[in-house]
Amino acid sequence: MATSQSIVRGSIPARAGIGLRAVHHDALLSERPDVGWLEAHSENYFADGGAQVDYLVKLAEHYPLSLHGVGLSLGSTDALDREHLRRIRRLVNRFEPCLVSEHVSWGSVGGVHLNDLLPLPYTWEALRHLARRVAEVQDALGRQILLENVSSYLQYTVSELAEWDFLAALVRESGCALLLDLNNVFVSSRNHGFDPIEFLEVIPCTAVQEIHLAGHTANRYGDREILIDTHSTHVCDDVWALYDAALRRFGSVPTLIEWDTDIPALGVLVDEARVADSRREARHGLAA
Amino acid sequence: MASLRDLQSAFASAVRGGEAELLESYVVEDGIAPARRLGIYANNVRENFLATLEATFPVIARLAGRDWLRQSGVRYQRACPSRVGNLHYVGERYAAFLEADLAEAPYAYFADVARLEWAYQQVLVAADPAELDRASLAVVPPADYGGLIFELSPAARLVSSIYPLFAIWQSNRAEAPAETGTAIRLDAGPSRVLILRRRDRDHVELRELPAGDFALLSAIARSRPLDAATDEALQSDPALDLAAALNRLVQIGALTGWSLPRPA
Repeated sequence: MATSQSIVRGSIPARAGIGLRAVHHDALLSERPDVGWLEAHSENYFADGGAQVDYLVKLAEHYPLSLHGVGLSLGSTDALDREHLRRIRRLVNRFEPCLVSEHVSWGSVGGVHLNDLLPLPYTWEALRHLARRVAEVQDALGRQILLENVSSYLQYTVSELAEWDFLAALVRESGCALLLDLNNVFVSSRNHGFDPIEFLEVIPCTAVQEIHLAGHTANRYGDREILIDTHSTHVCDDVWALYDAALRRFGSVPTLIEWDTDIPALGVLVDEARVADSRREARHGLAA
Repeated sequence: MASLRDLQSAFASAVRGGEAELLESYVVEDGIAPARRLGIYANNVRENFLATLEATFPVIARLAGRDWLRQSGVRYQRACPSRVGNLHYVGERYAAFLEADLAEAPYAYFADVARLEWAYQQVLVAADPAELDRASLAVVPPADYGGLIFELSPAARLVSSIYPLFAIWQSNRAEAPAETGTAIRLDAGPSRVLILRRRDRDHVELRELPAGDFALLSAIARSRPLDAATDEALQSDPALDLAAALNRLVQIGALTGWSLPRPA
């Protein structure tokens, strides 16, 4: 074992885990790599039965689990999808995951789902709406959930708050915790020209219970570029530097390596998780 | 100021190819035209949908080619946008869409292939089947057999077609060899397929059923009592040996339970 499993914040270890993807199910079970925990997309295990759910049952015997939803569309002005929430509740009751998370985003209107994590305008109306819905989900699940900041490729003229102030207010209003995606912070900071460190400094220290790290790509538009949150490559140096800053501010927080497109062999994700662990250990050393 | 709902409606309309002017007025330009910024989201919304469609209908992709499936998928998304937050369900109405879209086309049979592939997806995620307790049937007096209502396995679906669907699937599924050497004649006759995931097995099997077995199982799937189901089966195959047919269906795990409603 490379590192000791210091258990904090529930029973998830404060070390790096990896995003669970179906292509790695068999390799994870046969190789049982030394990663701290696994995070499953809730919707991938909504099935009533079958092989996918069986894999999750077997993997949960070996790794602490986090459930991460991508389809609840919490920021949508449509009614909350009760069937979707029922399936999340069923999973949560069955697997009792250490962490349950959703996104600060919306994805449907008028019954039509766009199946994407779309940015909300940072208005007081959106804040009140999202906080109400988060509280509703927390009541339904009987536990606190984490809300993740998303990458964005546009800003709305109607926004009244900075994104970081919106997140801090969401924590106050709803009692949720935060899943801070540092790649998303970095992508949005480049796309909209803000200082990512300033973003971190406004986020309440105790609210951050999980960190996401992932890779991105860049699209060029003439002399400008927009970074796109593709989860298709390694974590870049700038995001690793931001991770060091986050460790300084938020302490030792469970950290996840995400990779969703052009998914590499399991070993690549495990190696990336080791990099995160070694940076955390180095930071701890400095702090001690 | 616009409400959150107004903004979301305008956003959805713009990324689905509708009027974008209203939404563009909500978007900060900052050196890149709002239309380009929206284009990133439109691209994501389309590609997420198409990637899921490709994963859901691999046989159509192999039969028709990936480009055809993507072009068809774009029209499908426009006509039948997703109605659920769970992306895995976006293919639910694809067979019905193809049936209308390809009604006059020479490859109208793609609609039946899509029905088969959607049934396959449903079976993959269906509840795990129980085992039929044969011994429990011993308590049923022979005089009551006709009233027995058998249960179709929750992990079973039936698809029939005027086309040789089973042969088409066998030759074009992912595991099939690249070139089988035998062309399938579309007029080779109808096909009746059972799609099934058996107890304690994680893969989905497809079986071509004889006409009588298929009719019997179809009636059972509609919760018809055994005497009525038998009548339907005999219409399809007057020579059907009912006991043998039931035995076959139990043997392959298609029947997972039974009940005997009390007489009214």
